[in-house]
Amino acid sequence: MAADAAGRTAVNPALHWCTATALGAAIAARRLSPVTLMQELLARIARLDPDHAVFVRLDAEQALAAARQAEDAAMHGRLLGPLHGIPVGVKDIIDVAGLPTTCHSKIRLDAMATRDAGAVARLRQQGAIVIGKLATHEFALGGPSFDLPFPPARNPWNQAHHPGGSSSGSGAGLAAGMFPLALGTDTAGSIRNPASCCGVVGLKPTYGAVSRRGVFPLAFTLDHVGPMARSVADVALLLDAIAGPDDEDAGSIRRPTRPASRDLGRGVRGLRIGYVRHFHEIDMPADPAVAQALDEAARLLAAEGATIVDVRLPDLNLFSAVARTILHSEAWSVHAEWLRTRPQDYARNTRQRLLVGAFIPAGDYLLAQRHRTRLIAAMQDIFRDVDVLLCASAMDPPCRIDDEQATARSYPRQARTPFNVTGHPALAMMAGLSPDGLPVAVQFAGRYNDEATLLRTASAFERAGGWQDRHPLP
Amino acid sequence: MSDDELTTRVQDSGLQLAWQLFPEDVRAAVALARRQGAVLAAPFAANEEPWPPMQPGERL
Repeated sequence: MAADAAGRTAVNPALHWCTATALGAAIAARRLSPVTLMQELLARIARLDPDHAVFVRLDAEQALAAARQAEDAAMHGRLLGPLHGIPVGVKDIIDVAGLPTTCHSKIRLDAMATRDAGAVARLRQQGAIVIGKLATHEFALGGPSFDLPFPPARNPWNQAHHPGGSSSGSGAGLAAGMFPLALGTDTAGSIRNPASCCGVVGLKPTYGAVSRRGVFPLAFTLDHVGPMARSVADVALLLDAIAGPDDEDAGSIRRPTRPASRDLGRGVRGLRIGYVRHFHEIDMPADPAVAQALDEAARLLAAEGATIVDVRLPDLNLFSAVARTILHSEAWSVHAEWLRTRPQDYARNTRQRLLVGAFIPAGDYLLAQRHRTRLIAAMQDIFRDVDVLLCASAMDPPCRIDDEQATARSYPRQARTPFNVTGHPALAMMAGLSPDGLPVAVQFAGRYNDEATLLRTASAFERAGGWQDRHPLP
Repeated sequence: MSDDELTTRVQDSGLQLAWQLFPEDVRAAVALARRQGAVLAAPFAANEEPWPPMQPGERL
């Protein structure tokens, strides 16, 4: 069992696999020093990151200094909040004051942030410590690219495989035990994709629940910031820390302040869960391992007391076409000037996708928004009948990262974008392993601003499935 | 789309440099944009007529 500098015993023999919830409790009870925790994680990162490329920028010196301050404050009974002394990784499209926000791009190598993003500011107010900036796809788009200033992150379950994206470093670093919490962003599934590929938990909150101030935009009506962790309880903990209104984000919403974590232990008895089979059985047939994991999830939740009902939404391919048209149009509005003047400075993947927006007529963008209105109405109709939806996240297990065709094929083969189009909260989590030993996942979605019931369901599935204790590394 | 039409579209978008350096990327982008448009133009549901023009008061 590990001990801190003062000889006090720590909370677990494998500190790097502890949940943030447990670490926070141990720090609050003075059983664990934030310095001990930080030193152990930094040593682990030094050992593992050369093979995983999780960090674009590790801020070890500042992180250790912050841990010393946190220890001193804890010793004097001045805890800032439930995240006091907890290291958090931040995707590198989110501003952290004093560090560049490179967006993993040559174009922004020197773009120094002078102010924390809204979500980062809230994290720090709760006592969390930013450990560094994490790998992404360039500008949170494209895919794993080898023609950028930083290498793409690797999947800890098998380093030859894609960790998902675009919050790649967030997912890979959590799965490798480098930090217990991470921030990601999700415009077309970019939190839930790496959560699925890396076997962790990722939540895209209700649109507007978490501030996007200080986050480099991809598509402003689809962009979300959200929490990632290795357990549902930790995702709830992080969401409660970062959610809240922000007058500097025009999409920010005011909503009830009840904690998202309030119902985690209630189980699913009495809940109606709509199972969207047609997404992965008809619209976009899934790999058998994914289909099997979904059926097993439905069976487990029924055994826990939920009522499972088959439900039908519009065709998944329509959701995808609407999402792509909106994303490409809005992303073009962000990148037009750079695409005109320095197209050679983008990775090929990113450039190819961003250029699409230049050729989408305004009429098609409007038509996509009209479709969106009706898709939202269809989703709202479903949520009058059920409390939570169960559906696929990725249709396939993670592919090899060096197989360009396979990675390109993997991005549209997913059922995450429907919830970016409608803005409903959605969570992806591990639900099994493929025959090759790679994670497969399921997705749950909830009503607007009802992350509590969504997390309650995910927590019940986590307990029943038991996958959260499986790790790819010692 | 002919090369002349494509060149016009490229000039309208101010993408001459991209067209000069990466013509295949530009061609692929144009093709994808057209394919997406075709999917969207289909009726919302199987038993519906194609989309009418936007109506007064219709909200997005």
